Amino acid sequence: MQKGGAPGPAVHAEGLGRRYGSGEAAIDALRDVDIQFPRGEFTAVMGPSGSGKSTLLHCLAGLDRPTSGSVTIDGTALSGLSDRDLTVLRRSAIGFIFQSFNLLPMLTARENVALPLRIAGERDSDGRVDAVLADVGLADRAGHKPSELSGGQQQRVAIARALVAEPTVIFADEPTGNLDSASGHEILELLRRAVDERGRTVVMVTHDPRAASIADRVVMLSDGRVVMDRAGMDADQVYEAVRTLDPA
Amino acid sequence: MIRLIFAGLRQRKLRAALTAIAILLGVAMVTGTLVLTSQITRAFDEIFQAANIGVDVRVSPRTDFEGGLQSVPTLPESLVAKVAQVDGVQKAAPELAALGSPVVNGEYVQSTGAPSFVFSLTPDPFRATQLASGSYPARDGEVAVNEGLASAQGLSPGSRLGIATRTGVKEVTLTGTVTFANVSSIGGTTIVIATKDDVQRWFGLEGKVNSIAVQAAPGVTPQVLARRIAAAMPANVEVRTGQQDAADQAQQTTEAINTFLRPALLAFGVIALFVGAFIIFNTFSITVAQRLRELGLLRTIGASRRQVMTSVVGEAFVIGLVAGLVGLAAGYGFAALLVWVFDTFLPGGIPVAGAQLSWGIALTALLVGVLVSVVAALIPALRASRVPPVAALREGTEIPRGRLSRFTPVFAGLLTIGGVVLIVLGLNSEAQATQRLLVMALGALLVFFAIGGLLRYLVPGLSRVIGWPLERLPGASGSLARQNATRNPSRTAATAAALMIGIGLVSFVAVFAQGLKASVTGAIDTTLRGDLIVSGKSFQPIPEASVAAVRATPGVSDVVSVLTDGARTPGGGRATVFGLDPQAAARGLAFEWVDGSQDALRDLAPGQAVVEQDLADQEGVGVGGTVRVRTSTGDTAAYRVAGVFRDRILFEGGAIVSQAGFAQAFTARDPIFVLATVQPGQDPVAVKDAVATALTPFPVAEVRTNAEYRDEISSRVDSILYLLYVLLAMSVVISLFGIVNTLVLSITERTREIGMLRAIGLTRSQLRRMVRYESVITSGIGGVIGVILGVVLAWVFSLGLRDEGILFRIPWTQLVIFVVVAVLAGVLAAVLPARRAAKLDPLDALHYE
Repeated sequence: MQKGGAPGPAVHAEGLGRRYGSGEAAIDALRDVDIQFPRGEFTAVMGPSGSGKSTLLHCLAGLDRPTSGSVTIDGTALSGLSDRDLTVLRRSAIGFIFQSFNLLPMLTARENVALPLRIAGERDSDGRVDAVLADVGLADRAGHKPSELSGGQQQRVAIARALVAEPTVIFADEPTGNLDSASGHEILELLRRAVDERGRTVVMVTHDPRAASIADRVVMLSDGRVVMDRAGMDADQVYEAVRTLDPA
Repeated sequence: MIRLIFAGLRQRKLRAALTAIAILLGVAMVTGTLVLTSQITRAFDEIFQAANIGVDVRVSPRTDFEGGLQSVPTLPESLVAKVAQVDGVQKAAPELAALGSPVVNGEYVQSTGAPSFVFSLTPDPFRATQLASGSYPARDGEVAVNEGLASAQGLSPGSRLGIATRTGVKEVTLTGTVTFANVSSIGGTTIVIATKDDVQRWFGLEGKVNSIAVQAAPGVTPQVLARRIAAAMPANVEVRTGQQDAADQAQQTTEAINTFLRPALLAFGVIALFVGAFIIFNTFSITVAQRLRELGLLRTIGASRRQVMTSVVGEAFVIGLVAGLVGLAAGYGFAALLVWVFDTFLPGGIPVAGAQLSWGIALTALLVGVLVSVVAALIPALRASRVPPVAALREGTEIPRGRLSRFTPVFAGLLTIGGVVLIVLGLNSEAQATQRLLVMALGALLVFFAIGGLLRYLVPGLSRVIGWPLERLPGASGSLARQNATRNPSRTAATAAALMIGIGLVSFVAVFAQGLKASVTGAIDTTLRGDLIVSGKSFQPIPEASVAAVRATPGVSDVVSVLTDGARTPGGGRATVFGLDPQAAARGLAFEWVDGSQDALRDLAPGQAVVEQDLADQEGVGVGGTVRVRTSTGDTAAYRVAGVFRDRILFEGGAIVSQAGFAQAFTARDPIFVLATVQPGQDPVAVKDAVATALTPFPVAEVRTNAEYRDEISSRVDSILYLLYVLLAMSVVISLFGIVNTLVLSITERTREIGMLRAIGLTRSQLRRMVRYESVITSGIGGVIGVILGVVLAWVFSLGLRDEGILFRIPWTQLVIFVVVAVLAGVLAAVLPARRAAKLDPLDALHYE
């Protein structure tokens, strides 16, 4: 079920550092982070505000250029890539899910899902789009515009969009942040299934311990460093870990 | 509030600048027109002032309307002595003026179409010219010419040159060069000064003068002297003081400029402003929609609806003021551009004096800028005032729609009908041409306005059609572009409408010109049976003697020379009288007869006429009735109608009489054109060449085959058409800024979407393509609708002008070119916005709120 076929982890970062600004005002959002995301694993990245979790996600996804270190996705080092090659890599190897859904308002659910294929110039010849939509439970909503869908439904469209190109890794940035808890739970379930049933690799940034508890592994960041990296935590353990790290 | 307005403008610099440019260009066109027309007016004032230097009183033939070029009224030369005898006259001198171009090294100096004058030498103090070099001609066979001509042709005192006259090319010697008083520029006009006797001989004016210049004796005022002279003169003589004469002449040209040139040019400025208004309206609509939160915030912290409205209107005011100021300056540039355009596209440069700044022009520029900007921003401002305070807190709040907005289609429909009614009314009205044109223009304006309002209902469908090929291209750019174009139909519609106006008018004139060409060339084909046409350069009449030269050319069988002059009927109506040889005319011309036949033309007696239907209707006469005409000098003639024909193009409103009948009242002897038939079996081209050789002594006359003449007419229509294109191009340019503006605003609005698209794999070039395609769809809509609207308007016009013989013909190639130009304009307009979009960092885009 794996794509690409390159051996090794789906995503691999080494000595990753990201510094904003220069001189005295410089801020190190990431300091020397080494991390791997094995294929078919669901990782939650947590940490207090300003801990660098979003920066990590952006650097891993090739949206932000690290100031030091390297990122490898599917065996391809990002640092040497041109903007164009990076974009094409994102197109094929990376799926995105955003906090604010980011669907195009003028497109129907189906068209939004088909977008990555269309951008790549591919035809949806095998009915993949409808299959994915059915998978996220929106077969009957395919013709609706985002404005006609609830927040949870919109985020499910976004998941379908992230899944349709069968990327190596899916990055989710606070995917439940704008949703009520019931819808949020559905979204997490869908991500879980993407890992279990489709063998996708999911990296999810969240500050919600309950959301994190659905992951296989929880990585905790603080001041730009990985301070905890544990597998198999339940919600209570995650709460506990958050409390110890961020007493405020 | 004021600080808020300026803070807002600073924050949206690019938008403010682009918006200002949208009206600035219109203001520049209006200002430029005013500057230029005042330059021309003053130039003519200078010329007439100069022409009357030293003239206290001028005696000239009395004319009660402007006759044709063919009949310059004259006075008997004997009057000069009579005037000289009047008590109080110090000096009286004859003045002669004729048209005749210099011939240098055998080459006809074809001035670009400006007149080529030949003046008789007048003694001091009547000289309007000053010597630049050499001396004035002292004897027959000597001339002085204007300095500009001499330097352009490399002539200096002692040079030999020819003068094209009524009696052939005369070889003369140059004795000196002159300047025309202090006039800054006389355009392409050439001036030749010769002795009185030469001018009389050359132009068949023996014993005649055109006017008499008089100097008063010391102590006698011009007014008193004028009265004394008038008392001694016959009734058909006009006596005016020199000042009055100059003022009258200047007034005539000023009037022509004020009633024709100025309104015509202003119309293009108004069109440009109209296009600019669409852009202002659109830009403000978009920004108000984008600033909902900010406006809501203002309301939450206590701003009244009125204050919110003021803040938007204030912004428009400042933009309008800046556009007015810069437009004023740019107007001077535009005036210079117009001079260049006229010199390039119209035969004959125009005389212009130096440009001046007047308070009136400055004030007009500011007022126009502010008014257009504020009026266009009123509706968006009103909408802004409806933003509820809660918009500050909530995302996605929409402005409540006005109560009347659902009636927009009805309203627009009514406007369209109103516009069409105005056009039809204007077409059929009996009022003055200028007023009719004004009514029709207003109607066309309404139609454009209404279609602009209705366009948003058509945007989705049109985008689908125009976007079809783009959506078929690989990648998502095409379909995204199409969907972006349709997501906010009113925005796309208003942007496209601005371009639609320019393209619509361009198409309109193209179709109209095509019809005009078809009408004229069709008339030439059906009416003229001859093979060759001899006509004068720059519409000048051709010397009478050239007719004999044509007739004597071997291979020529029939020759019809056509004399013509303007006349008035007793009721004050216009009539054009044509004098020709009936027998030759009956063979050379084929008319469409309403009553009568070619026989009526062939057997025309001196007291008879065949009249064109228009004149017959105007005078309410038919065959057997009588048409009475009066010449500009007051002579009258009456012709019995022997037949009525129909020809709305070549002989419209005309009365055709025999040349003997013509001579009863009219003095013109030089034909306006001569038709010649080639003898059967002769090669028309060889005969044409022979005729051209025979016409060598008369370089003003040109011989063409019918086909060549048709081409000549077409190219004359084309050169006017190109002039109109240039003037209308401004509107198209302005609408480009509108597209740029809308795209830039839309991109700002969609920053987050663009970030998402980049994140999920849209490359920079795909993104640029997406923006470009959206631009192309918008401009394509403007182009297609513009072309359709232009064709429909031209069709309505042609229906109204069918009686005038104007046909309706569609120039397909040109129309296709216009659509292509529109599409290319879209590509051009997208350059900057696409670059801005591609520069967006996907990360910033995702964070953008």
